[in-house]
Amino acid sequence: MSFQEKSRWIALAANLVAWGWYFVTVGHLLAAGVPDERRLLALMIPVIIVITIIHIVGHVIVAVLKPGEATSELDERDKAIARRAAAIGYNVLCLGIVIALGSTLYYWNTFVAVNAVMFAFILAECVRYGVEIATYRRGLAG
Amino acid sequence: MKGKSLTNTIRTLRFHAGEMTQAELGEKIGVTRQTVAAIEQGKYSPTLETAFRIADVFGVALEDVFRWAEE
Repeated sequence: MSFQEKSRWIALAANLVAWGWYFVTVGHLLAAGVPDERRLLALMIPVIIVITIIHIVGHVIVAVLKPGEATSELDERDKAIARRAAAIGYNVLCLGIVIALGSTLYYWNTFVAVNAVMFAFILAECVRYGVEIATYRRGLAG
Repeated sequence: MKGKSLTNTIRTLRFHAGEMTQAELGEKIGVTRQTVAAIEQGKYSPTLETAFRIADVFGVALEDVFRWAEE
C-alpha cells in the first residue's frame, strides 16, 4: 500500500470519526428542538481538533514505519486517481447542495441550513476519499 | 474494441535486466514502486510518456514492452 493510499485511509477515518460524532450530536440537538446557531462553533471546535490530531498522528506513524515513501511526491497514477475521485465527489457535492438548498424552500432555519450544506460537503469528501481508496485497490486501467 | 487489453512484458524485462526491482525501475521513470506494480499487473495504463520511458530504460521498442492483445 502506497503512502498516498494510507494517507487517504487516515483522512477518511478522521472525517468519519469527527464528523460522525458531530452529526450524531446535531441529530440529538435537533430532536430536542432547534438549537441556537451559536452552538455551531462550540460543536465544530472539537471536530477540527480531532481531525487535526488524527491526521498528524496517523501520518507520523505511517512516515516512521516507511520513511522512504513518506517523502515521495504524487506520481501520474496518484494524480489520475485523484482526478477521477474529485469528479465523482464534485457530482455528489452538487447534488447534496441542491437538495440542501431546495429543502430550505420548505423550511428555513440557519442551524438546519448550515448543517445540511455541511453534511453535503462532508459526504462529498468521504465519497472522494472512498473512490480514491477503491481505485487504488481495484486499479485504473483503460 | 471489446475483448482486447493492454498487456506488458515488464516483469520479464526486469528479470533480464539483472533482476531490476520495481522500486529501481520506478525511480528511473519517475513513479512509485506501487505504480510500477500496478502497471505490471495491468491495473494501470501508463501515459504515453511513461510507456516510452520504460522502453527506454530497457533499450527496447515500445511494442516490445506493451501489446494491445486479446484477453
